[in-house]
Amino acid sequence: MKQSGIRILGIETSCDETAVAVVEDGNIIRSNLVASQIEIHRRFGGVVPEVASRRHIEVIASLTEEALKEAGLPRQEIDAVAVANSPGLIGALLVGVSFAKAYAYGLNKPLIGVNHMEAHIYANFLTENKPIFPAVCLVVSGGHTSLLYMERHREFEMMGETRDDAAGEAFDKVARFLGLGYPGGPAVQNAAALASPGKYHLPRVYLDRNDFEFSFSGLKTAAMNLWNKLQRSGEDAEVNYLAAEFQEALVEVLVEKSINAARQKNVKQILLAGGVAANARLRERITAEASANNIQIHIPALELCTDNAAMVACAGYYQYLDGDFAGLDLNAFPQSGLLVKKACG
Amino acid sequence: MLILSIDTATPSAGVALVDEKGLRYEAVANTGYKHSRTLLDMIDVAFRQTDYVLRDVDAIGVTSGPGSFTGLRIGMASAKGLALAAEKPVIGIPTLDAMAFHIAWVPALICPILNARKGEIYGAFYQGGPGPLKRVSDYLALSPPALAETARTYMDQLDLGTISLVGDGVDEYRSQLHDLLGGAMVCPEEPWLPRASSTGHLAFRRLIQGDIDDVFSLNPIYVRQSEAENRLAKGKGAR
Repeated sequence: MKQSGIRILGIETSCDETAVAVVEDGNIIRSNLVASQIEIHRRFGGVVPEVASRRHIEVIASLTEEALKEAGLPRQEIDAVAVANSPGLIGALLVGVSFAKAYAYGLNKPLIGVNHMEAHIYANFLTENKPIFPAVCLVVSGGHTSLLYMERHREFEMMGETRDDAAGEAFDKVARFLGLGYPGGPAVQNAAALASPGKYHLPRVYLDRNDFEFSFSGLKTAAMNLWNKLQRSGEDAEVNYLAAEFQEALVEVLVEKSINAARQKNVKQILLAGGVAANARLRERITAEASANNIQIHIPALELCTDNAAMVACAGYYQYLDGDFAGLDLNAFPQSGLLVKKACG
Repeated sequence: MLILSIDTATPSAGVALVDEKGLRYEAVANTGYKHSRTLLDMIDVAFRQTDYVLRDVDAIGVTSGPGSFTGLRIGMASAKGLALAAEKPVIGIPTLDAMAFHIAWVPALICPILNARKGEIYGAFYQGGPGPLKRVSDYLALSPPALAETARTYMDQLDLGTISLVGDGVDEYRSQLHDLLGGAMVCPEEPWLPRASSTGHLAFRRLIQGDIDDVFSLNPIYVRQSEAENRLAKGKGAR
């Protein structure tokens, strides 16, 4: 098996982005295309699984051809096809998985099944300046909020995770409740940028606990209750200030726990991953706190934080090096499993 | 000219190889919705058992709907992936056309029906033999009474005294349809499955006419909108 010039075609359809990318040797992005469905789902106020799946099948073939064209590669020069097969919306995942399986079979190239959350972490490796092990990873997205310890490639120890809502989910629900718009993360961030935290007070849930568990459902409910109370009281309820306080309460817990985790494990780097890693306030605060504690923060470029296929190809590259290939029976799974399986390994 | 046809529109998955001499190979796995796991393996077995290879295939036929939304997409995504990677044309064959083709010679109003759930049936009407099969309606989603009423209209129009029904919609609504259609209705007693070979035969006919689909724009025929779109249209809010 060749050791360099390894080109992986990555395919990602786990939620509302259809994405195809070609990555060489794990960090050279030859092409990275994302067909976003945000505008399609906006009128529903959130991602509708059946609508997302219908869009995936409409664009997957042309997006794949464009990604190869942009990479300047004939398809035969792809070394393997990597596809996100869990976790995610099952109907959406199945489009990418079915297409990738058939494409790999048709090319007679190896197929690699990639865990979408692992791929988010691997977005940190899509650079010349690669992370150094051991590291602590904060994975924050619409479906996950986890702190993981990583000593070597492809091995993750779960240090703690959310007991209820994921951070991104809380952003979405609060944004919808406050009528800030869709998608929730950018909507709350934009509203918060027009105000400052502290005018209202929301709890920093679990900050007093000595572990790495999170809970955002209570924070979400507190924000909603406070908003209702403000509206009833006839006071001048300022939505931007509430958004700023909500964002601050959430970010503060994420940052503190991440720093504590890094200190406990005595690591020099924290890797940020997942769609919520695109949040400006989180990036700003975690960078400042880490610097004060002599810890480096590794954050993927903005466009590599949200769902994309370059990260899938990158994670697939490390599986390729291990010879970890999938069979013709590769299936899609809504639940993660992978990160948990390797926990405490 | 060799067609590889795949069908995952219903709980039964099928793969077939069809050429000018007719059906060369067919496999059906009526084992419920696990097509994502089994389909490619079934294709691989088809090649190994026939000594054909993917290179020998001239076009890929796929059942394009209606049917299970997810099932249709598994078949369609697989067909697109194979077609692009192996540089083969793709041909989509509507599920109901393939089902009607299976009994095309029956001198009756032919009506393949699939259980569409929510009290409805996917169906279409065809004029059977003698002569070539001719579809006379759109692909529809109907309640059994509406289907019976539409059937009566076509039977009068085409002067046909019999309606021949096939498909898993028969299994679901057999007694209700008997009550509605009486002696005019004929149907198999056993459960009846769509077949990839029918899709293959129809795809072969199109291939020799040079009538292929565009791999990029070919899409499943859902007949129905998504539930969220229906709710939005009714002003109920999507979620």
